[in-house]
Amino acid sequence: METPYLEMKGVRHSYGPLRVLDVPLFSVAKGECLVVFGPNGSGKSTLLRIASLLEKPGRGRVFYRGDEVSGKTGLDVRRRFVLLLQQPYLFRGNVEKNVLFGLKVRGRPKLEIRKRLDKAARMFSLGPLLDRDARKLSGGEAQRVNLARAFILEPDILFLDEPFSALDAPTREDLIHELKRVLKETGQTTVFVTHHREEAAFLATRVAVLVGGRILQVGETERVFASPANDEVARLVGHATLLKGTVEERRGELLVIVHAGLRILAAGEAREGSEVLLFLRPEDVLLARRKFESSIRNWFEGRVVEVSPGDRLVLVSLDCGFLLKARLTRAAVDELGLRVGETAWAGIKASSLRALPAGAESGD
Amino acid sequence: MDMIWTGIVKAVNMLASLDPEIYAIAWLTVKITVAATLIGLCIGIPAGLGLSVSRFPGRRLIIALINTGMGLPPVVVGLFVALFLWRIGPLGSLRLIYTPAAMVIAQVLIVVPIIAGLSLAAFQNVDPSALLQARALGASKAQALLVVLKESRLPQLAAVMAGFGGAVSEVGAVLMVGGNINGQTRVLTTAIVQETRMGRFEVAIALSFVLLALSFAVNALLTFIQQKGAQEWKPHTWK
Repeated sequence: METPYLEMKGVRHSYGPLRVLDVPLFSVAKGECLVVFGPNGSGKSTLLRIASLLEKPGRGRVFYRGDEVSGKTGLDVRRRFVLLLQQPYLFRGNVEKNVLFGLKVRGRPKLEIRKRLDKAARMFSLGPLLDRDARKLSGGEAQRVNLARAFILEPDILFLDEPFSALDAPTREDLIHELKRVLKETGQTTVFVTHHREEAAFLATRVAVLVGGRILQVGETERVFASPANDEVARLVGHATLLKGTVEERRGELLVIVHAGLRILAAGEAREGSEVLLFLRPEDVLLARRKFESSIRNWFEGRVVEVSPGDRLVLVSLDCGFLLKARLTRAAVDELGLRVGETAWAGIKASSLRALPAGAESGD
Repeated sequence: MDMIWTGIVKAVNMLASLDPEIYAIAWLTVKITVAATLIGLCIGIPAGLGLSVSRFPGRRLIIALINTGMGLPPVVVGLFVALFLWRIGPLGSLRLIYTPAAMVIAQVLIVVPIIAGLSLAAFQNVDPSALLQARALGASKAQALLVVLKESRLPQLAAVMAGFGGAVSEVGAVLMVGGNINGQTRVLTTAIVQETRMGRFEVAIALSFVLLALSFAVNALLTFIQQKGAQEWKPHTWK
């Protein structure tokens, strides 16, 4: 196996008596976009500052391409990285001065500085901004300058700490698409920290879920989102708790779960007779006027109790003896004529239902 | 009232006729004050920077001492400098008492706490993320500190102005360690005291005009730089 670009081993960090980070292993591979995803206050920023060598961990070691980073090599290695802060601090002066800051402190030759400036300006369409006062930029422009001053350094690893969280939704969307395009073009190795589920899903090749200073799950993005390792991760990646049931039997890869006389087929690992929680993403529910023949194994009939318009999709709540939430397009809701009080059928694939041991509640 | 008026008229005449004694005194004042301010800046600004970015036991005590020092009675400074530099004092062999060098030493001691205190305040006004941002983009510790200095350069001018103002207007200490020797250690403030005592009010008034003009010129220049910079960096506001 290839030596990881960056590796942290046995890192523990405390602020006073408060343990904020406890990460036995964290590694970044070349070319990936690893998203560290977790709620606010979960230690993401601390993890990032330690990984980018801006802060020394209380305990533990950091390796760069297999070599342990020491005080002697610290600055050299640190200069191969760039960390972009949540609130970009733009230095006094114009945009160009800000974009060139990293190259200047590294003492790069003038010719190289010129060339790279042209490239970075093109990449982030900064041309007309270059001689503008850096402190008079809008939030979106400031973040573009922030991204440019990182990419211009062509770092081995780019660390981003919730760079878009302070921006309004349209600007954030624009920038996140711009970032994804640039990451693809440059093959930049990136560690991106966010508490936004959509940002994580959109950007990540791999996701590490960080809660309370611990990494609860790390893996390919699809896998983490589809098969969360526990209920806490499940909620974070957008699964809603459906109900609690008992495992009646195991049928191949699937489990048969009983809840109030209903038999439900779900994916998961659990012993027969044990209690499980069923998780489901509202967008994995199919609503229909009547049941139809398909590969869908679970059908529930229910009465519509609420139809609430959301950001893009409509959330429909169905009372099937338990509360089931489905997310579908406005067009689908209109087509089906779903209104409060009407009945409808909900179809859920067994593979979309995730059964997790009920004992593993958060905090245990 | 008459006396004041004739004094002012005579003073203006003296200044207009470019009285060489007055200008010699003014020139010495400029040299001593500028020297003391520059040395004070070399000590006070690094001290302010160090205190703003580091945390160590005794830091608060030092800050409290600096704040006390900002209001240090100059005569006390004069007394201690004189005691040290006295012919038979611990540093007497340097033969500095009653020289401009002794006056610079006394003034440095007076302006360093002023500059350090105001400089510390200026540094503490810089967003703490400036330091982190600089390091995050690859600055070494020294480079990051330089960034903080640059970011706070406008408020730092207040420290320069206060330092210069403290030095140029000071009289007690320079009188004690300089001795107000004509042609050697006589500066504007000590000369004003002398001429007033002797009843030569027109000379005292002329000297005080020069002192005010000097003080105003330096502060006006620094204020101009500061306000021009401040305007440049003014944030967006609604009209």
